[in-house]
Amino acid sequence: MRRYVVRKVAVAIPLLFLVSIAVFAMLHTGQGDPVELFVGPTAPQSVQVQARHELGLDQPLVTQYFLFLRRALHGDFGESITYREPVGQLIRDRLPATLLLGGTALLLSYALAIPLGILAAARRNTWADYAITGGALVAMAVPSFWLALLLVLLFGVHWQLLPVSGYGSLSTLVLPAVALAAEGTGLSLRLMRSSMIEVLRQDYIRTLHAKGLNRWRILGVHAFKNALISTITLLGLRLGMIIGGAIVIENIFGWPGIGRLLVSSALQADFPVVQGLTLLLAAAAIVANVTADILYAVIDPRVRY
Amino acid sequence: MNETGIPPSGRGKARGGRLRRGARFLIRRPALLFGGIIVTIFIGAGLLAPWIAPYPYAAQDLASALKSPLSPHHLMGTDQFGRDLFSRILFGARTSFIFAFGVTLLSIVLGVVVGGISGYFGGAVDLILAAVIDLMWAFPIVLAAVLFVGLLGPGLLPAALAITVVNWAGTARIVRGEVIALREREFVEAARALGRGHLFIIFRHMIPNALPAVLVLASFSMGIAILVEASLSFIGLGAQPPLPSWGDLLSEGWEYNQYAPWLVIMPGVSIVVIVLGFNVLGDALREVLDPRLRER
Repeated sequence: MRRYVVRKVAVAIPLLFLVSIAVFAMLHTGQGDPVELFVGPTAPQSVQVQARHELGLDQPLVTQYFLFLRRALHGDFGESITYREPVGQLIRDRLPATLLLGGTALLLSYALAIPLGILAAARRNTWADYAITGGALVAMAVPSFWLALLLVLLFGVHWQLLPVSGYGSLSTLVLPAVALAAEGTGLSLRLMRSSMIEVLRQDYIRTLHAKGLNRWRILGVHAFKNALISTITLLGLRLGMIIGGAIVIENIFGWPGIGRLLVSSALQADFPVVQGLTLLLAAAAIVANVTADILYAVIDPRVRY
Repeated sequence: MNETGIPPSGRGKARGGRLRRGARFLIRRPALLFGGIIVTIFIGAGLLAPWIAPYPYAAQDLASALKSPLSPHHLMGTDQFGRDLFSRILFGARTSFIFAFGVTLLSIVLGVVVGGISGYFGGAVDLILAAVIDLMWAFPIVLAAVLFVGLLGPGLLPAALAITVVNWAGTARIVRGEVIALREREFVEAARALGRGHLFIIFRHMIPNALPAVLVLASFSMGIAILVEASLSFIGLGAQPPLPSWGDLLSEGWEYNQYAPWLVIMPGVSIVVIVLGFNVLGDALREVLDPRLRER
């Protein structure tokens, strides 16, 4: 087990370094002079020279990279060009909003996927199963941003039931959370269903039946175990989907989280913010992945090759 | 005709028999038929768009602006500039298909090579590569896209790179599993005894066994690529105007959602139908090929 964990972490670290190099290189890939980004193209020569020195842009690239890395490890990503605030502060201000949205979406998704998946497995090949599985199939084909637009059209504009932007009350959370949750729910549902079917086919289930155990109790106990396993199997993937989905969904609903910050900064070429956020989110995704893998190995010892 | 299942003899009869057997095969599997038809329509629409679209992609006709669907000359209506929506959707299909096909092809080639090598040689190489595969497999594609856009500027190339960089791991997993399963078989030993090189064995004997599963994954891959391309183009990081894209159609159409909801509904429905087609096809392929995969 220890070797498994060590190996997972040992591979994650170079990957993080690779990402950090790519993130660092963003500023230097020949899309114009980085100094101009910071002081504007019309700044006089003296200001440019001074800025170049302050930003360390007059040093060799490798030195710049290590300076960048050291600062990054201390949480210092510089100052945003657009907001003139430290990047770390910007992120800290907006992180809770994204965590709220992502967490709610994930809970919603599992609250829907697990019961429906179990139901579909228990009623396999009946109309209920076909309806649920069909629904899941369609749900996997719907782009989350389009669903968001439709939700806004229906609930926000047409029926005027829910707010379509803003932040603070429960009602503003509903539409974005639903839109974000939809993306991976179909996948989780199908996995839940197929793993339940796999389990229900086993001989020991028939034995329990024959011994007279209540059908629902059998279902409940084994459903719970399976729910746990299949949730953790996909946890890394789902978290990745949430991170990616939040980037798009926050944009549509004007949700003041780091997803919206990332897109607006990317479109405005506000590199310090993009660098800091991308590195942070990539690190989060990688850590989530490694954790999910380790968790899975805890539950299923067969995996620990 | 021949209900006993015994293949008919004679060339003429065999051809007729094969056709009927093929037809019966398809009809018994509506999912395969459904998915296959949709995918074929999509590919046809995409490839033939320049010839079958009634109007050019950017042709404006302000006199016919904001016409609703089923208008006389405009099957799906027009947008605020009078551009025909149906034609624009066709051209969007073209971009989506070429993009998704290229990305899927690349990620499959990469995945097959890396998975094959990793599974066959085992040892330290496999240990490292397997861990890399496990990490990349679940990395958020949109985030990778932002990273590549930061490096290369917005466009389809960074989007393609982002999807490929994540997608190859899925194929690699499958191929690696298959190769590991086949590694200890006698025919491998026999091939080595005959002096065949490692790479030859991998590519000539083992990979063909993995191909059915890879094909299934390819189908799902196409769907994913189409969805991601649309998402990225929607927020402005993917296909740049004037390149046609469904995501772009949606982001432009959204502005007029009050007056022309079809501008939002039609491209979205197209995406859903096409991706659904690929997903259903993938599922059906998996059912068809699965019994042959597992030797129970």
